[in-house]
Amino acid sequence: MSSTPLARYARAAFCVGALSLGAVIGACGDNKLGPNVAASIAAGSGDNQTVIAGNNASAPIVAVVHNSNGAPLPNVEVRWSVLSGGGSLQTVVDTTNANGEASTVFYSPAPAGTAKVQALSASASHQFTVTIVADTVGKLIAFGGDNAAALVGNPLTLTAKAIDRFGNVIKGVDVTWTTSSGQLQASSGTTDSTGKTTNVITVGPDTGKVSIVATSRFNAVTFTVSSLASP
Amino acid sequence: MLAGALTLSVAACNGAPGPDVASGVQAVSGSEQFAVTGAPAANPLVVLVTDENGNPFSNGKVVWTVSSGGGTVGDSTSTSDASGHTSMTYTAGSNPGVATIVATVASVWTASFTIHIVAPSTIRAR
Repeated sequence: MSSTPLARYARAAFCVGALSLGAVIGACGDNKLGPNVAASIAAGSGDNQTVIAGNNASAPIVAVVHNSNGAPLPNVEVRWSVLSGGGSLQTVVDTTNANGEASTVFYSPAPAGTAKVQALSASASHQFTVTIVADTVGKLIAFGGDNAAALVGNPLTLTAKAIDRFGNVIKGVDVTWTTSSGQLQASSGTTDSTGKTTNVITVGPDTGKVSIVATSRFNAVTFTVSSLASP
Repeated sequence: MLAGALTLSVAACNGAPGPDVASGVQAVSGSEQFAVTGAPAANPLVVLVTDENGNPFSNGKVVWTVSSGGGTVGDSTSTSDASGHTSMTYTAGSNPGVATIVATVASVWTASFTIHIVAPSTIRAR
């Protein structure tokens, strides 16, 4: 078929217009979601759980999918993902049951903090929150003041810190303090929100090495400081 | 010609195959978990491969590498399934610390996983 440049241009322009029209018809429609399309997702159960670091959540996370009429929507795919905070999921794709429910189980990450888990179906989504707290078992470490020195009659600050196996700080651990010589400011303390507790020892009147022991329910840690003679 | 153009456009909007190139990857599950030295992590590392529109992309090749912290992945590559997901196992190295595993798609898009490696002595019986 022969054609002039003008005719070819006209045909090309016509095709572009037709394609645009088709795209509008096919993509836009009346913008209303059908009864078999997820329109919204709500938390069924398992939202706002608290999990110990490194453990599994005690209850599954359950999402309920509804259509645009607000009815539970069965047999639709829900994709699960951890959006932030880390952690693992027992399943990343689930299909809603007759009640419109889909679920997964959250496996806690090592770091304490907050994790966000998302359920997604079509363009509907819902975010669940899981709080991860430090393990209840850990150890006490010498955080500050070990191997320090002071002149007789002067103070030294000692800091012990409680952490779990992942390094998360543990709050509320009772610590008792004893010393081989000198005077401790307190005989006991409790770790704060940073996992730390501090004490002050005033060295003397003897000179030499001084051993201070901080004891917790996990273990005892020994600080060694030096008591120096005044010049 | 008009009918052909309309058919083409409507078919494309009704779920016909979209872009045939993977254009993204997201970490879905498995990051920040812990593993004991020399032992496998309990949970797989899972990614979602996506196309340029963010939709799940099947048959997308993912290259897995340990970028730091030691250890090994179960295989160097995997392929996304019909839902766009694919996963990989990780076994910790001999040293405690933090390992980073990277999933790469199309040599460009990456998703990173962090694994906390702990010594056996720090694991307690439950």
